[in-house]
Amino acid sequence: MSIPAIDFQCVSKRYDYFQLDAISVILEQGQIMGLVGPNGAGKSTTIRILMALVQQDAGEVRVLGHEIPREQVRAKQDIGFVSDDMRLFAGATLAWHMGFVQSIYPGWDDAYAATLLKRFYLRPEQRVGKLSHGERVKAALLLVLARRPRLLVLDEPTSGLDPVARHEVLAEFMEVLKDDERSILFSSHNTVDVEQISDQITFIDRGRVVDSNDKEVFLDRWRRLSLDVPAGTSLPDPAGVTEILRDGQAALVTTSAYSPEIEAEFAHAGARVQNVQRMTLEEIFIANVMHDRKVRGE
Amino acid sequence: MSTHTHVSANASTSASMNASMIRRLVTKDLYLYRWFIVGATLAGLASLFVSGLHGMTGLILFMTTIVALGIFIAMYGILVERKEKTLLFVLSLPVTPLQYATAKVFAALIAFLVPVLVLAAAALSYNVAFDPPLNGEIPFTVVTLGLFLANFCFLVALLLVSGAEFWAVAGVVLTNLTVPLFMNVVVGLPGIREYIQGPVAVWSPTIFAILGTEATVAVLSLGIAFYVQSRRTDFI
Repeated sequence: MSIPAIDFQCVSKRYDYFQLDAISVILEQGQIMGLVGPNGAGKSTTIRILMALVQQDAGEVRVLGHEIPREQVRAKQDIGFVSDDMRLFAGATLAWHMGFVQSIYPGWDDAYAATLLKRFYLRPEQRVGKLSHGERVKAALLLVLARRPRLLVLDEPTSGLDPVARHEVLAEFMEVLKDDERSILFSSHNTVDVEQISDQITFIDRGRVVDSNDKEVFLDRWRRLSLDVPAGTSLPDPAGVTEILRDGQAALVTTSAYSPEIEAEFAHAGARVQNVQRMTLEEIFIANVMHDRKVRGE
Repeated sequence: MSTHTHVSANASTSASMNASMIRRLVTKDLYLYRWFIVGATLAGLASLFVSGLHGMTGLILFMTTIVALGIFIAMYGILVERKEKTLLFVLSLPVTPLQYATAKVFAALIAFLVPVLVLAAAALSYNVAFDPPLNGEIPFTVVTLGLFLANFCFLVALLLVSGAEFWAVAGVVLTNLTVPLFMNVVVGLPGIREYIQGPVAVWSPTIFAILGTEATVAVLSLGIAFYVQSRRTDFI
């Protein structure tokens, strides 16, 4: 079995008004994990610990088999990191940045860099300070992708991009994943982007991992059932039901563990199942987070 | 034996990787500072020329150039890098925060010292060429340049440690305050006042004591900055 691309074991970090609480996450090589959470959930803190920009108070972090922060130099040789708030040197050109990064990474692929320049419609002679936000993100991605890193760590990379730029960027990530040994950790609060490209999803909220699983497992298991409940009927509470909303005879049931048996259980209690809907990742995310907060009494 | 050799080889590879990364970061900073270096050198040479025509005005311009160079390098290289989030880009490269700080200090010192040494050489040549030679001023010029260097090191250290605008402004104000104080107090010190107008450079114990103090401030400031950086857990 290969070494995981990312291995977080019970990682904690305490700030005055926020705490990352014993987070454990594993990303196998060749996978794309979407790290999804609301603003302030701890996504960026998690990524900053991974990049050794911030040191954990407790717990173990290994990236591509290297212990973080102790072996960060070796790990960062193989990590490409882009964050929406990362900036390049405004006074220098993209060509200068390409030369600078090339001088550091022997794996720099000139031909691929040229392809990306065309694909992203970037001009190397242009000063970075003159680039639009979208162009800046693409420039940062070019600098990272042309190195062909084994792990891409992307903190809200599509934030603020127009739909076309977002499509170009996401398409490039899919291209990267054609190589089975490359992995991506992709943090976003935009579940549409995450749903589009991720194999695995980790939901994070208020410094805790709420749920982590394959995307398909989430999409298969989470369902919303519309019921017609005759007066006087009391509904059962099968395992996996996260919420039951009632309005007169109508009831809306959300479950994280759908199976035909759940339908049968409601029918047996006297309710009529009118329809069963699949949920979008965004709906699953919200339902998951709200249920977790309720369970914890927050 | 073979394990030992393997560990040694790894350590040596790692050390050379670190040194080469520091060298690249220094080169990067020097490229970004290039206009400050050229500008300060030209402005300093122009102020020396002016001092030949209007002594005090030229002297003030000369000192202002050096002080401004120090402020620009420290502010642009350290504070702006942090504020504009280019620090995030640099720290995502295969470098530790301590190596980053080392590169920052080296680059800042080179960017500051190169123009200052060129200007010092020009100023000394000017003193020597004067008829009669103003050699008595040379030790005083050297301790004044030492003050600028100590102030610069203090400012770089302060910004490395704090990275905050408030402390940057406080540091600039504090270091600038030392200049008039220094000029007024040091000129009147025994071991300096009696030789400053003379034709011969006299390196009195007072001069060495001042140089020693300046060196201590510079080394201590940077030493504290490196210590703090090595103990830090959050770098962004």
